[in-house]
Amino acid sequence: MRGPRPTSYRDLVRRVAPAPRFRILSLDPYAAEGRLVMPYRYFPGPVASHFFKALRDEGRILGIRCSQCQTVYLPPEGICGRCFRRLHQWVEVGPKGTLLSYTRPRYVLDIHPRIQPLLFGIIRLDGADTGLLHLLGEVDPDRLEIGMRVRAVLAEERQGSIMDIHYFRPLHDGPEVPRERRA
Amino acid sequence: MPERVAIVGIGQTEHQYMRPDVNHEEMIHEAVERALQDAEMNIHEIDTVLMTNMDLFEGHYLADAMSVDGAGMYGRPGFKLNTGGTSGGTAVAAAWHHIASGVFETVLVIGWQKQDATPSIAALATAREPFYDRGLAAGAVGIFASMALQYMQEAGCGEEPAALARVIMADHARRNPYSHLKLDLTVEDVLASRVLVWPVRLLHMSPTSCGACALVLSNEGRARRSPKPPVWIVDTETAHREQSVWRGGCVEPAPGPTAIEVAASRLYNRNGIGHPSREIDVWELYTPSSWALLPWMELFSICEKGRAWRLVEKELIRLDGPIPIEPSGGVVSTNPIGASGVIRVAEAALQIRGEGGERQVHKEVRTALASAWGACHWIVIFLLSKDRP
Amino acid sequence: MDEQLLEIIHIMDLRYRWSAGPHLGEFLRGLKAGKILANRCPRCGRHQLPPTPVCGRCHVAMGTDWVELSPRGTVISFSHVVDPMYDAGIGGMRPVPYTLASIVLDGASDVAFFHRLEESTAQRVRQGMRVEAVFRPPSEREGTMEDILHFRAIEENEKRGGSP
Repeated sequence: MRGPRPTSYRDLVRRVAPAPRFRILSLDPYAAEGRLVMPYRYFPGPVASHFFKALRDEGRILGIRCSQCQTVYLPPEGICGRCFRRLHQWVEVGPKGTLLSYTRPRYVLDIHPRIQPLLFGIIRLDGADTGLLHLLGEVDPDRLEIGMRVRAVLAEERQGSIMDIHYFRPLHDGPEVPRERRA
Repeated sequence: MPERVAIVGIGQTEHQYMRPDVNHEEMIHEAVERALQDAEMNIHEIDTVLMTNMDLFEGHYLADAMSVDGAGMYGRPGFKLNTGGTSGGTAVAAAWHHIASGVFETVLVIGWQKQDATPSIAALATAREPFYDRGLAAGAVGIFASMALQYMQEAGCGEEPAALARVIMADHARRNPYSHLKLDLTVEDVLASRVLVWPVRLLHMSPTSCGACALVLSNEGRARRSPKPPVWIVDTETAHREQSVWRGGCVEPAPGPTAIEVAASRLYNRNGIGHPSREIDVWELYTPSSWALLPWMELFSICEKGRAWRLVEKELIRLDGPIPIEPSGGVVSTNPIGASGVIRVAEAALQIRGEGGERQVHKEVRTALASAWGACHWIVIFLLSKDRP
Repeated sequence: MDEQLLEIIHIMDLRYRWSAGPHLGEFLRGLKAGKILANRCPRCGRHQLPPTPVCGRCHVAMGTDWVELSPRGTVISFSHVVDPMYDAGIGGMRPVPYTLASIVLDGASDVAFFHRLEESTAQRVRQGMRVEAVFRPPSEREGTMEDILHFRAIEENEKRGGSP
């Protein structure tokens, strides 16, 4: 069998914290809080694995190029949807890029990262053709601007996830000219 | 008069217990590439893509959205659907309707499942009502146990026929390069395997598998340009009685004919089939347990009531027999659930094409019947033919 | 094994607020009161468990005349659940073994009720066995299916209401 040694189901379900089936909120009308807790092992496959390992182990951000339409995808994909081809050609992109869009949620959900102010951006890294959704940091929210130049700040301890990029910060160190797009 | 519907492309993965080497999009793409290759078509000739899998098994809400590129759905008006165990059958039926309606010329239909992500039975149990029976219910084996008990009682047979049926399916599966389980079994092996719910034993039941199966369906105009002779899906029928079973369970058998009898009789009547076992050359039925085969052979009118176990005993359902059943090795050999219904239709079509290889049934195959079944007593069936309807 | 490929573990932990609605709600409140309540189709007269708003067979609204079913009934089928099974509702393994039975309660027309069998009952269960629901003491009941502890075997002449 190809692939990583899978975590056994026994070990997988041990990671879940047990809880009562219901918390009854009201008997009439009858309402209760219930749970649906499912543990999963996910196999991201060869393309995503290569991307995450390069990010984790070497701090490099890799895109993948379609040999037909020349689009460089970030995050990388296994198949170009438009040309319906398998993709193989890796290209290093970033770590600098251009902010395509941004938003600042004024509310916080459980699933949001614990950083304040919470700012999301879509960044096109130099050398890539697609936007990457990520966080923005070290920045005054009022100074954000579409088209501004940003740079990836890597996490100190990297684990093989998209959060191995800590966030993107504005470029302050002198004038920055975007690299020519490679396509 | 609906448009005639043909199968012009068939592709599937080598089904396995686990696929840690790919994500679901990449696994789907393997089957899609093969189906398009088989049809000698490119993705731009496909009008729409329909997809199916069982929800929750992979932990992805909108698992189809993540697989748009690999599935060939980019820019096409397709959708994902799910009807439980019958999902693959329902997807093929929906594709059939898309073409029969005259609106679409070509439809790519994909069934898939990746059962290596989580214990699937826990996902299945969430189909139950949260307050009523979710905390009690435990999978589908019990359904087959009560089916088996009732069959033994009414037909007067012992445990051997269902075991022999399993052995025959294993013999077929060993000849099928795509099959997940390729076991070399004896009746004694089956009867020595662990009891799950008596009289159902481990080897009577289907495995959990990973895999995908894709079909290209087209209308008659497009099928004329097909490099391989088209296989016609003459007709399809769906019947179910899930309300009575799913919500609290009525006494089985509930009054009235079963969903299988309803669907089969409608299909036979519409197509003038008076003697199914003589007029249908091969049967690829969705039997999640080899115990289910015995009552279902009778409900499909393959034989009279109480006779199925004798036909199995005489081994008439083998590839070289007069009533070949499950030439693929069946769901008991391969069960990527969302794909299983599509695989039944694919296998029936391969048999009609004569592309069964080592598992090709020996007699000439001009007609086939394929089915899909779900634990909510839902059934989807297809009549396939070599001859244009 | 290919060490170039990753595995990612993630836990989907979702909380839901579920409403039982007036029909199933009445049934659950009935359990708290120590009763098994069914509703009745005004057309075919069938009792429905769990209670639903509409008779699936007749497609008419169920009546509002609630029927208290007998806690006694007959086992029509059963499963011994022996394999360890993860349960998404409790985030852990469900205790096994247990025996699940389909029971037609006396007066319940053709609809079966699902519950566990008491251990010694489970050991000698057969089709047709007569059983009775054993409720938890009133102070422990919450209005859930767990208000019934299990069903236990009874002799026909036995008085109702054995203690748990």
